[in-house]
Parts: sequence; structure tokens; C-alpha cells
Amino acid sequence: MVVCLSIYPKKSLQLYLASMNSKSLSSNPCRKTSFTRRFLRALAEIRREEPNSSSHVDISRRCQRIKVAAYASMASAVGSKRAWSRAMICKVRNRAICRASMRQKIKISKWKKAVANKHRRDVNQEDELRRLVPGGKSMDFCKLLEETAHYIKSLTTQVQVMRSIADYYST
Amino acid sequence: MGAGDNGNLGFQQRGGSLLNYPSSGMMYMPEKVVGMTMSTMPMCKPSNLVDSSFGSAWDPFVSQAQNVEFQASSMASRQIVTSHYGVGSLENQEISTDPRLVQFPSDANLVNLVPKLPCFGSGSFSDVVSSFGLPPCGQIVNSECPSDCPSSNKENGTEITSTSPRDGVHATVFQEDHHHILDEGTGGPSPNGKKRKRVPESHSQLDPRQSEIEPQREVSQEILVGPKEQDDKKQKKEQNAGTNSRCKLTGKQAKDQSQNGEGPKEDYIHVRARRGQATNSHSLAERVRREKISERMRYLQDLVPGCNKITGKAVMLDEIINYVQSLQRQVEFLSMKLATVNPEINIDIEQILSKDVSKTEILHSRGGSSGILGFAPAMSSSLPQQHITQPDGAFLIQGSNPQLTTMSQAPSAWEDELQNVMQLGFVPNPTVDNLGQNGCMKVEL
Repeated sequence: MVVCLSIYPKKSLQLYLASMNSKSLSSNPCRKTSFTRRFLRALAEIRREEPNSSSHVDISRRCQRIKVAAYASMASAVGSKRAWSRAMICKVRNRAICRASMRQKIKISKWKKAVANKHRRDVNQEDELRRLVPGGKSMDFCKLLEETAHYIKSLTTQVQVMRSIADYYST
Repeated sequence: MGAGDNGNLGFQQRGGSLLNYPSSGMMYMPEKVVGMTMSTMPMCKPSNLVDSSFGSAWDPFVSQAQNVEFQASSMASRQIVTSHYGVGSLENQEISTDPRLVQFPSDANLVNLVPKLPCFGSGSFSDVVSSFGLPPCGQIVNSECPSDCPSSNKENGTEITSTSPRDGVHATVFQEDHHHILDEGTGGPSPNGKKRKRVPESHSQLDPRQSEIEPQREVSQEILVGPKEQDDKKQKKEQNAGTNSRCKLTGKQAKDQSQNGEGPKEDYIHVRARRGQATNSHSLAERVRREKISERMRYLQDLVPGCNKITGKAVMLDEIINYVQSLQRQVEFLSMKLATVNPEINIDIEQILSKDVSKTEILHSRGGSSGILGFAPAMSSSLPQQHITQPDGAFLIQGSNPQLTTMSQAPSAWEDELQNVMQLGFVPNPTVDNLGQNGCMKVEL
């Protein structure tokens, strides 16, 4: 199930090289188009591997895969220039390597932490931001803000592309 | 003062004393002395030599000042320019040279000046350097009276010299070629350094010349500050106010024109303390850090929609966090939507990209649907905070409340949040003939 995730980097490189001739649609044409291509490839891959069943479990699993694929595609499109993209790529790769059971344990521990945080009234904003931005735990605040800005830009691009794909499919 | 006396002597005995100066370490003095007197050009040459060797020991700006200045017609004007003021109308100095020269020997003035000079300590070393083009002065200030001047802790906000180099900045303060001298002088020794780094350099270089230069400095300062009626003085005052802005010496005039003086000075990479600010190296570094952070916050303010009016760091951080969370939720929701969409085998990337271009039109046409689509995850998300924050609604499309309320009733029938979202997502879809409450979320596309 997670096999496809590990092949993203190779594919992404080919895709990136192939997507250099792209229409300039926004301020980040290359990034956007490369992300689009990678993501579409990943989508095709996921659809190929899993039947389009309508069971909840299947759909939720597929949704999870698509989500990870989206993040991975965006991180690959951005490259290694940014700390958050590097952290994201590492996370995706580790996910692929981790076993399902281990991931489950990690999820439980994270959920417990979230519960504990809920009761803590004064959750520091900075810590919150560090939690949100990938790779934000080991950055000083100044760098964190910089990475956050870039991350927000990439996320908006990602959302735009995904929404356009979804709209395209639904029409 | 010794310097004053030397200056007096210099008027009369130029040639002999000139050569003696370097050995005695009074390097700067001969330069001024030379300039002050109406000696002939030959007099300048030896001083030029002295100065050139001097400049090599120091920073380039000194030598450049000398090179530039000694080519001017009037020695006095040059001297004054090189030494202190960098005044625009140098030629006018000639006329007023004599009165100034007369002022030099006045002990009272010198005495008055001595305590004032330490005021420069309030400014950073680089401040003084840039102001006067004389590292020793700043160095003296720093070494002797770092805490003499009252330094209030905070200035008006963080106006740190940002790292953006502004080479031509000095021109506004020192109208003549003096400013480039300053640029090189301050930029040369430590282009990447802060005040801390600069101080030890200059300290090591300027120690021997401390005592001699100081009184001269004071005198020049006094001359500058004293008479204010003259027009050229006004110019000088403006510049000097900038230079003196770190010192309480000029008090009111510095206050008036500190803005003029301080603004153009900030072109160095290293930080300078402003008037009334602490000059502790820690506080300077802290100020640099704060300036960087505020600069990034401003950039983020442009990125996050609806944050133009927010002026607080905490509120801004809240907005940023909310925005990032909402974006991540949107990604999650869209991935869910994509998971249920029937895939088309022929994925035309160009078509999608072109659709992307007209995405805004699609959004507009779909109007509330997109808003609901975007807003739905907020409702059914599994995040700890169940309340829908205002910013989420701000950037998603508003006006979809009535539909949302109906949607909120629907999920009760579903155990899985995913299904809730799917239903919410597909309700506004015109192609899907959806069902009101518990409609099956089967794909009906």
C-alpha cells in the first residue's frame, strides 16, 4: 500500500525535468506545473492500484494516500531548498518505511499528546506554529517565520491545483 | 589642551612639526593642522604622505578623505571637511577659518568639549565612525565612556540598520565626497560584522592616537555646534545633528534632526545604536533579531489574507496558525473529494492547467459551493478545536451559513466523519442529484 510512496522521488525527478516547458500561469509556473504533473501521476498510480470501491474504509484509505501524495508532490516540486520541504520528504519516506503497526502506535501517542494539549490553556503560539510547519521543531523563530511564509505559499498553490483537478473531474 | 597647543604650533611651524607628528603618534593632527593653515601646497604633500601611511593603518576612509581633501583649493575647508563635518559648502569655510582657528586655543571651549565628547559613547562605535569619519573618536568614546551618557533602553521601535546595503546613503548626511569615505571606512573593516566586531579592530588600531585626536574632535564639535546663525552652519548642523544624534551634546537640535541623520546612516550591515538606545552588544543583537522577525511578520501579513489591519505580533501569529490549519484542512478535504471522484483515464494536464487559469471563474460560478466545500472540513474536522474560527470563514467564502446549518444536521446519521464531509462536499454539486439528509454518498457523477 505504501509502495508507491517510495517511488515518488524517482518519478518526481523525471517529471520535473519533463515539465520545464510549461505555461506561465502564476508567479511560480514551474513549481505549480511540476506539482500538477507529479500529483496527477500519483493520482493515476493510486487509482491503478486500488479499485474504485465505495466502501468507507477504501475511500478513507485512498483519501489518506492522496493526501500524502499531494504533500509529497509539493515537497518534491519545491525541492530541497527549503527546510520544510526537506522535512516533509523525510517524513514521507519514513512513513513508507514504517510498518503499519508502528505507525499506529505513533498515532496513538500523538493523539494522547493532543488530548494533553487540549487541557493546557496556554499553548504557546510559537510551539503551535512549529507543530504545523514541517521541520519546524528545530528552527529558530526567525527561520520558522520564513519557512512558514514559503510553506503558506506552497500550500495555497497546492490547494488551488487540487481544487481545479477536483472541479475538472466533477464537471 | 595639548591638541590645541599643537594646533597653534602647527599654524606657525608647519614643516618641522609635520614630520614629527607621525612619530609622536599624532597622526590626525598634522592633517588638520595642515588644512587649517593657509600653507602652500608643498605643505600638503608631506602631510599627504603621512596621511597615506596613516590611512593604511586605519581604514580607507581616512586615507580617502585625505586624498580627496587635499586636492581642494582651500586647506581650511578641506581640513574641516576631513576632520569633522563633511559640510557641503566647504569653500565657505575659508572665510570662517580664522574665527575657527581662533576658537581652537580657547581652553574654555576645549574644557567644555571634553565632557561632551564621551556622549558619543551612547552611540555605537560605527555610529561615530560614520559621523566623523574618524574611527579613533568612536573608539575613544567606546573605551572611555560606554556608560556615561544616559541611554534609555528603547528608541522608537526597531530601526535597526537592516542588512540591505545602501551605499549612497551617506550622501544625504555628508554631502560631499566624504560620504563614500565613510562607506568604505565603515564597510571595509567589517562588512559582515556587527558593532562588536568593529570595535576591537578599531580599538587595536587607534589606541595610540586616542589622546591626541580627542581634543581636536571636541574642538571641531564645538565649532560646529556653537554658532548656529550662519547658513552654512545650518547645513553643518543638520549633518552634525545626525552625527551628534547619538550624543546628548546637541540636545534639541539632535532631536530635531536625528531623523535626518539617522535614516541615511543605516546602510551598514552592522548595527548602530540609535539615540537613546542601549549600546550593549546584547541589546544590539536583540534589536537585529527583532527587526528580522518583524520584517518576516510583515511579509507574512501580506501572504495571509485579511491581516492588513492587525498590528500585534500575537494576534498575527494566531492568524497565521489558523490560516495554515485551514489550508491543511482544505488539502485534506480535497484529497477526500478526489478519492471519491471517478477517475478519467485521460488526464489532460493542459486542460487542468487551463482550468486552473480560469479557476477563479469556476469559483465564482460555484460561489457558495466552493465556500461550503472549503468550509466543510472545518465543521467536520477531527481537530481538537471544534469551533469554527472567524478567520476560517474570512478566507473561505462567506454567506454559506444557511446551507451549513442544514449540513450540520446531516452528519448525525453518519458514524464516520469522512462520510459527513463527502456528503457536505457533494451536496452543492449540481451534477450530483443529492439527497437532503442521509443521502448515500455514492458517486453519482
